[in-house]
Amino acid sequence: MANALYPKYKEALLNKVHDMDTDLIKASLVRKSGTDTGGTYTYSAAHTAKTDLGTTVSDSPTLTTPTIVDGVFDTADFVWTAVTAGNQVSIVALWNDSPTSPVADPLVVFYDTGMTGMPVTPNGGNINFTVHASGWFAL
Amino acid sequence: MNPNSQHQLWSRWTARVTPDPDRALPPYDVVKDNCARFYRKAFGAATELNLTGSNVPGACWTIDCRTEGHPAHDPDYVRFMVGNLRHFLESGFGPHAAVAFEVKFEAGDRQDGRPADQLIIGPEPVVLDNRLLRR
Repeated sequence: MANALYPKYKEALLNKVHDMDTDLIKASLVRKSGTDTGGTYTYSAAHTAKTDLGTTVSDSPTLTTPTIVDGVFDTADFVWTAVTAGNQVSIVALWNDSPTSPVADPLVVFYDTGMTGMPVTPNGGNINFTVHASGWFAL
Repeated sequence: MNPNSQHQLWSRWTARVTPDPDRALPPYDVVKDNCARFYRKAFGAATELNLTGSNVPGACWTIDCRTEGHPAHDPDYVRFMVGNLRHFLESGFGPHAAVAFEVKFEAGDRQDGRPADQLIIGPEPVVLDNRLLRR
């Protein structure tokens, strides 16, 4: 599956569920079914909430300095701190920790391709994430 | 490039420069050539450099360098390199240029007993098609 905005995110965006520059946007590392040992997640366009990801490897703190200029969503770089050592990880997913309705913690976007340094095999240390110079996604 | 290979040290050196208002502003291509030459000498070949800026008065220039093999976890080394870079940038942009540095250790062993830092660089953004469907 290529990188994609979750269709249910787009639907929720049109229903005023998300306020991308004030809500608590977070990023999770997730193991991919069939690719990462122990991975259970497979992208589905029907997925709506963070619970659909199953058990995540690590969740980031709230991403800082969110901006939404000209339809482009961007944030500052961030760190997953002391990620437990284990099998490789191939997926980064963004989700919103603010909304509680129609679902809690709605998913935003899914990435599994085009990332330098991925898949990454956590070694117990920090994993630094540098956001692309052009941001996360553009509407 | 795999920033998570063993024994590699990746770091990012970002300089933001507001040129000296009393100095004639250099053309973009001149700044680019000079930065490429100096940063290659300072950091070596395994270096990626991005330059943004313009010679509009008051505009800020950003010189963003990602490089491998430099101990950016060592404060003495960082002080030494930032001193060299500052000297270079003030020579080009003028002695009253405002120069701010941010140095980030991105991946590798900090030699502090903890596991090595790892790095992921985000993908090109997902972009929705701007065209509206036509019937």
